[in-house]
Amino acid sequence: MALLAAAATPGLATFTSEVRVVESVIVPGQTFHIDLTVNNTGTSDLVFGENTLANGVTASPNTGIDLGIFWFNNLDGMTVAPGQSHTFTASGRTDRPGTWTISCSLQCRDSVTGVQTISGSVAATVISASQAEALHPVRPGSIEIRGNILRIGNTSGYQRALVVVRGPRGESVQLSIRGPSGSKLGGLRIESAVADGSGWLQIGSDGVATVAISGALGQGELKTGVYWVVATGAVTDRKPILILNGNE
Amino acid sequence: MATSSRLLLAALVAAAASRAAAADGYSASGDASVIPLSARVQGGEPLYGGYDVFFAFENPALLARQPRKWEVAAGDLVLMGGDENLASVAAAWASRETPSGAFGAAVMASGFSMASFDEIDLAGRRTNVTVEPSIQIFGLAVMYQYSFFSMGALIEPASQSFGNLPASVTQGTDTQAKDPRFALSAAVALGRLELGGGLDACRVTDMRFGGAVRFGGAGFPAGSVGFDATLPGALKDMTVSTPDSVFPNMGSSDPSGSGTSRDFRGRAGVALDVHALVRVRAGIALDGDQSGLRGGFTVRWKAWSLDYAIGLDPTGIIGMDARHHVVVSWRAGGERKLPEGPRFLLETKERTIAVAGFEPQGVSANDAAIVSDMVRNRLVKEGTFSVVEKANMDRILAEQAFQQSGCTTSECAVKLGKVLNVRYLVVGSFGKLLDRYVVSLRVVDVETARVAYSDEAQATDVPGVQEAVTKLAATLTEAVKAK
Repeated sequence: MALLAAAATPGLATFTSEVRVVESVIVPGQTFHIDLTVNNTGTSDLVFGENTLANGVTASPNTGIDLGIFWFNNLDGMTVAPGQSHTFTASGRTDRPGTWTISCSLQCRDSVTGVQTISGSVAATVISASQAEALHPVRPGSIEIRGNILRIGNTSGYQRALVVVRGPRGESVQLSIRGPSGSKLGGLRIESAVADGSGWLQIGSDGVATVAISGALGQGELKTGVYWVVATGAVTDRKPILILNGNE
Repeated sequence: MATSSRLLLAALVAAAASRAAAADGYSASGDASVIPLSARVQGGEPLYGGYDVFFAFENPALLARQPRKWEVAAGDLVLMGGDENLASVAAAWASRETPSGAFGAAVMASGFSMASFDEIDLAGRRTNVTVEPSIQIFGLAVMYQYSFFSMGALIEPASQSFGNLPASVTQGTDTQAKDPRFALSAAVALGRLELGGGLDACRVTDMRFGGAVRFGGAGFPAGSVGFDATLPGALKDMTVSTPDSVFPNMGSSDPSGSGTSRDFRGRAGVALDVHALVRVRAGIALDGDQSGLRGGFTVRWKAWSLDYAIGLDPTGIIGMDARHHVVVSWRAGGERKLPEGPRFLLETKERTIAVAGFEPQGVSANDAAIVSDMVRNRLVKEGTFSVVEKANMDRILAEQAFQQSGCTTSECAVKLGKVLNVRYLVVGSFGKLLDRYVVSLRVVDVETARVAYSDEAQATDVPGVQEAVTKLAATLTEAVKAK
C-alpha cells in the first residue's frame, strides 16, 4: 500500500515524497506504521519541525472510531539536505476491520520558497483476526500467540496479543497464563457474550477461537518476563509469550 | 512446651500481619524463585524432617538441621517437557552450638533457561526476531539457632535476559530487572515433631508452614511423615476480551476484572529408610491442575549423596506432566548436634542410657562391677534417663553374643550401645592408685560416636567412693541433658 505524491516547487527547492503503510497485513489491535519519505531534489535545505510548522495524520471516512493515529514525532530541527532523503514515521492502531484512507500532511521551510506543505494519502486495510488466521492458518489442535512479544505500559499505549485456537467446532477450551515452571498465575478471564468469564472459550463454527491478551492482571500488569499461555479442554497446548512492560 | 508454643504463635501472628500488608498485584519475577529447588521437596518428602542444602532456600531456618559443618551440592531440574531447565549450585556452613547459639549461612547460584522461540506478528507471520529467555538467581540465607528453636532469612536477587532483542522491539524497556525474593522463617524441634513456618515475598507475600513426625525404632525402619502448605497472597485473574465482538474495550487501558486468589498449595509425603544407605519417599502435591504424585530416593555413601526425584501430574497439562530433578551433595567438617527439643519430648531412645561394666584397674573385677552398679543406681535416682536394667542388659548381650568386658573404647561403646538400642552409653574404670580409689567414666553418644562427657573422682574409703559416684552421676546428668 503506497502512494507517490510528487510536488514541484518554484525556484531551487524541489522534492518528492512517498507515503506508505509499512505492514502488509493489519489485524485489529496491531500497531501499524505510516512512512512518509521525503527526497530533496532541490538545492537548498528543507527544515522540518519548527514551531510554526504543522504536521498531522487524519483518516477518512470519519466513522467516529478511534484509529489511534499519531502525529509525526521527533521533527525538531530535522533538516534534509539537497540530494538526501529522510523517512518520517507515524503510527496508529486499529480496533476494527475495514478500509480507511489515511491522509498525511507535513510542513517544511526552505530558504527560497518559505513554507511548503507535503501531503499524501494512502489506503489502510484492516482485516479481521479470522481473515488473518485464514491467511496463515494455525495447526489443528493447537494454539498460537500472535504478537507474542507484547509491549505494555509504554507511551504508544497498550497493545494486544491474540491467542488463536484451532480445534473441534463448538467445543470449549480453557485458557490460563502461567509463569516459568508452569506455576499458575490465573485464568484468562474472557469478556465475551459467549464466555462465562472463567477462562473458557468456545470454538466457533469455523473451528477457530480468538481472544486478545492485554497484559493486564487484575488492577496491575504482568511484569517483564516470559509466560506460558496454556490451553486445556478440547485443545491441549501451550505457547510462550514475552511481556515487555515499559512501566518498570 | 509453653515456650515453644508461644514462639510458634508469634511467628504465625507476624506472618499474618505481614501478609495483610502485602502489596497488591503480583510479580511474575517471583516465579522462577519459587521453583522448587530441593530435590526432596520436588520428590515429595516433607519439607521438615529432612535436610539438604537447597532446603535452606525453601526455609532458611532449616539450616539448623545441617548434620555436618559444611555441605555443598549441585542440582539440575528439568521441567515443562524439557523446555525448561534449572541448574543450581549451593554451599552451606553451620557452626556447632555454643552457649550463645549456633549460626549458619548458605549461598546459591542458579541458572534458568527456557527453549527459544520466534516472534510471530499479529498476522501470524514469523519475524526474524528470536527470544532466548534465561534467568540468573543468586541466593544468600542466614540462620540462628538456639537450642531447639531456629530462625532464618534469605534474599534472592535475580536478573533475566531474552537474547539479543533489537532496540526496535525492546523500545527502551528494562528487560533485565526482576524483583528480589525475601523470606523469613522459623522452625522448632519438639522431639519427634518438627514445625516451621514463615513468609515468602516477592511483591505478593505467601505464608508457608509445615510439620513432620519422625518415626522408627523398635524394629521398624526409620523415616518421617509430614506436610507443608502455602497460603498464597492475593492474585487476580488476567482479563482478556474477544477481538471481534467487543473491540471497543480494547481502548481501555486496564480491563476491570474482579478476579480470584491463587489456589492453596500443599504437599504431604512419607520417607522411609529401606537400607542403611538408601531412603525412598513418595507423596502427593495439591496445586490446582498441577496436583500430582511425587517420588524419589536418596543414596548416601560416605560423605556423598545422590538424590533423584520425579513429579508426575496426572491432570495431563501438556509438557507439565513430568519433572526430573537430580542433586549430588557432599558433606564435610565436624558433626553438628541437631536441634531435638525439650528432653521430656524426646523419643524413648533419646532418653535411654546404659552403663557398661567398669574396667578394674588394680582392684578386683567384683569391686569394679559394684561401682558400675552404683553408677547405674544413681542415674536411676536422678530420674532424667531411662536406664537399662543390668539384668536386661546381660540378657540382650547374651542373646547377641556380645562380650562387653574390656569395652572401653568409643568404637566398642558405639557397638554396644547399638546392640542395647540406647542413645548414650557410660563406660569407665574403677582403680586404686597408692592409697586412693579413682572412679573414671565417659559418656559416648552412640549416634555420633563422640564422647559427650567425661569425668573422674577420687576417694580414700568406701563411703568416699559412694559420695564420688553420687556426685559423678549428678554432674553427668546435667551435662548430658544440656547437650
